Amino acid sequence: MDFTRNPRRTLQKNYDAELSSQFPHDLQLYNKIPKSTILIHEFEEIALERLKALRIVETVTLRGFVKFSEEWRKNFHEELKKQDLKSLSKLYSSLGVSNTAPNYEARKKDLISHFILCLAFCRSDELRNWFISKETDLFVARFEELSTEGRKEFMELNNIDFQPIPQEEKKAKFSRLLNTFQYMNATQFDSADFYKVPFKKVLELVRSRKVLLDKGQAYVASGDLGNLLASKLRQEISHSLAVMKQCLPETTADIRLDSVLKCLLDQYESGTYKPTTTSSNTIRIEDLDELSKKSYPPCMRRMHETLRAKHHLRHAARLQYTLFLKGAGLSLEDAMKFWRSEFVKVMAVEKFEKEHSYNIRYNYGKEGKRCNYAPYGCNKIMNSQPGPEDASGCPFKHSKPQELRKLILSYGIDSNQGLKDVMEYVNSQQPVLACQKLFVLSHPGKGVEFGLCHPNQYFTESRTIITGVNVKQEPGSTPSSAVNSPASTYATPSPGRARENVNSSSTPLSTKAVLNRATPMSSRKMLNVDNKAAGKTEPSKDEVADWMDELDDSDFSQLEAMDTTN
Amino acid sequence: MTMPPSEEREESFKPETLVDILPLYYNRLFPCETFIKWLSYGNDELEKREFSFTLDGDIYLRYLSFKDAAEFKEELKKKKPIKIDVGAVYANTLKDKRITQKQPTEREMVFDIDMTDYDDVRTCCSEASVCQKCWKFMVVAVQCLDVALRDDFGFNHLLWVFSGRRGIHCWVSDEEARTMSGWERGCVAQYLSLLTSDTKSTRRIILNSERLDPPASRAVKIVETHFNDIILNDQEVLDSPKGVQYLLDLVPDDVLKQECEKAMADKIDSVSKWKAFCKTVQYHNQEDVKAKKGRRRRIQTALLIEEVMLHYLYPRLDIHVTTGLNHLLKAPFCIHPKTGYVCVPFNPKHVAKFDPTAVPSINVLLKELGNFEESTASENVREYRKTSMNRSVAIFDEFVYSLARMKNDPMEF
Ligand SMILES: [Zn+2]
Ligand SMILES: [Zn+2]
Repeated sequence: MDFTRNPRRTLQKNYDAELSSQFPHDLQLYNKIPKSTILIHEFEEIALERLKALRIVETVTLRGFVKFSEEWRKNFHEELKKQDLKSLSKLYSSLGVSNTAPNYEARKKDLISHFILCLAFCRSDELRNWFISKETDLFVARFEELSTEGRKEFMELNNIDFQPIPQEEKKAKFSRLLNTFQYMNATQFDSADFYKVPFKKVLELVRSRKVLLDKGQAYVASGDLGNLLASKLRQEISHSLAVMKQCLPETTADIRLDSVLKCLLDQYESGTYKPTTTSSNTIRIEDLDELSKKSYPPCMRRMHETLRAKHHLRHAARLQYTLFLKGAGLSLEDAMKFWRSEFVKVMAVEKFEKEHSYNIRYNYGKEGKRCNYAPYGCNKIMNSQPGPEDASGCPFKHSKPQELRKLILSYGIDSNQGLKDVMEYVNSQQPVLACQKLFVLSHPGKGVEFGLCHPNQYFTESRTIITGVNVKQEPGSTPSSAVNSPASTYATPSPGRARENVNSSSTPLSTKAVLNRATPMSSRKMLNVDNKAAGKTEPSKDEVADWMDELDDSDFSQLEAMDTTN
Repeated sequence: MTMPPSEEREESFKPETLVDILPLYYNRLFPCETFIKWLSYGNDELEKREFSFTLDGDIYLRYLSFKDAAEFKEELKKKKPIKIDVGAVYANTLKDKRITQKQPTEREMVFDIDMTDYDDVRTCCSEASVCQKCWKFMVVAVQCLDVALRDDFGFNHLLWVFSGRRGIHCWVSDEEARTMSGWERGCVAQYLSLLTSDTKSTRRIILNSERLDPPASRAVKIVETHFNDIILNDQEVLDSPKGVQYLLDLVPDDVLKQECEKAMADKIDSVSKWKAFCKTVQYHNQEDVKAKKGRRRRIQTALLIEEVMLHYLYPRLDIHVTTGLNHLLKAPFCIHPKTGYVCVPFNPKHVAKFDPTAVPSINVLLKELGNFEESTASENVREYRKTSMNRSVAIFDEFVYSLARMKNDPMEF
């Protein structure tokens, strides 16, 4: 027996060795369930950081930089640093594998935070799509940043072995390849390598016709390797999300975990904007036509124009538009006047008074339950199911392409690229981004600093830009500040948020999370080594369940010792 | 079998009688067995497949499921749906009421092309009405998409269906296609729509290069062969000043636009105007090359003639129908409640010969069934063989049979 051996030191050494074998590279495909757990407050912290990073991916793209171009990457990195996302920023600027001081902790956080967001974002298609697309973008950006060496190492470590097509095949497909990759000149083409993969692996490239397709096989140019890998990652994430989704009953049963995840989603969805329902900024009926052209989001503009043209709106649209107007600051009296003036063109005054005036007062909280109904947010609008004749809903999701194009063009977009950019988001089923892009295009010269999630937010931001006056009422609820500091809004729910919540269900949730954060259970790091699983396995439901158990395990005492070694 | 002239048949269909004659149709003519065979794909997942019925009086029944063809047929006869929709395969059996969250996992990749999306280039009819001239737009659409789906993506099992009124559907039923996610379908649809390059406002398709890439070049070849016939002779789109303006609005360069306007001014009919237009554009492009104009300027109009032809004729897809995994789509062999026409499958190779105004309608079919029985006393003739639906059912059978062949699953006919 060796009495001189310091058990703590050994533990630390093992810990390092384990980390280096688990995280051999700065970049990973997230195909292993994290073998380590972390304390709950760190859990929240790194998840929020990652969410911020994904938001940055989104914003930088929205600013109009060509994805993954040098400019885009530079901007992205600057923003990471600006928002103090240290861990990711470090990984981002390092070269991959052969650096002298590998940052294992950062790599570990990278993996864990990815899986925490998986847990949160597996809940709906909308969330899933957003998450997958931002994660793959983040990945490609990081891959592009690697050195040639780093890329090679990455491919080797992940057993990715792409073989270029043989010369004969290249010859046989010569003219079609040449016409597909028109950006190559003759010499470039001669020396270029092409890879052949099933088309499903490179759908991002298929979408933009950047590959040659033949009987289900896609010919990819070597310059598009990052995209090829992105499709692999996309698969991995889809798989993880599917597994996480199966685990949802367990996840939601764990109140503490669930509250953290819900807050994350809150942060993603509405945490960035809450419309003020008691606006003191008023708008006047006579300005509505002009406002609708300059500052309405397309969903509202379409309803406004339908109302003006047909002097009628169907039920869902009436509700959606009334509440929007209320949120935008149209008084009840004016709302009555406005609706009456249109409706009486197609119906008797008595009929209007009998059938519609009550509803308007109701929506303003003056009748019935006297509830001050909140204007609909984008999510609610997108998830509605308007019929073909309805003017309600989100045009980016529910309109026919032809009508949508007309609507977009009515914003007077004059750039060649504009319509294409908006439609690209529409076609990739990202209606909110499409709307936000339209905002950017129709307010030229202004960088957009908010994440769109509400038509009233669109309106308010637009008025702020056009009038130069900040019409937002409380700084606590301004979208930009909320986006920039999700952690702080989350930790101490701003008074504004608490008050504005008509049904206060989200308030106790936040409180709960804050309380949990302070409990002593969240104490120590622990590393759980499972040699069997060190190889390449996809996460299974059991593994996720184990992992969640660990997250929730308050008995970390056996590792108390380890932390004190430092 | 000869078909009676269409006027007679249209006259004889009365939408209000549909519900009364439907049970007979479902009982004797609707190909339940093959239909269910198709949607089962040789596995036992039929009970996870959503069907939806629309009953008379705007009643929608969603999330119906059936265990076999017999049950399906019984329900058809009992509920008498005026429309049947096919939805997705879900993760769980739909009858299990404990499952509240429904997760679609599979469905055919579907394409929906609607005549009304061509209203801006269609002069013969508008909105819901469709004539044989209109159908030619669908012919081009089928020819363009069918070859792309087969040659580029390697899909083999395509079912093309006339919707019974003013559009067509394509059901891609290869397993590869059925298991794709909404996003993945979106990518395929985007590829097929040829819209990916820079899009300026009016022209739908902007290739932004000097050479056609392979899919665009194939599409142009198809579109070219129809352009004179459909756009210039049938639709005569350039006969009216409005039509000429429409064409001019597709021209990105203001100088060129004026030149084209001038060149067309003294021409009378669409054919000569189009000739003048092409000549002007070609001259303009040659001058650009001679003057060694930069690439950015050249690609603006280098492929303008091709782009314009594609603009008029290239299939216009309703992308939402394709991307939504749980989007409902009208089943083949439904009866269109307004026209009485059967929603029949057709052979894409012979699409040009398909006449949408001569499609069998329910009351004609039932009459044929009666006539047949009076004149022939054969027991072993399958019911549909006695009617003008025969051909369409044969196409459907062949489609389902080829799917079964893939699975090495013997199927009797
Ligand atoms: Zn909107
Ligand atoms: Zn017509």
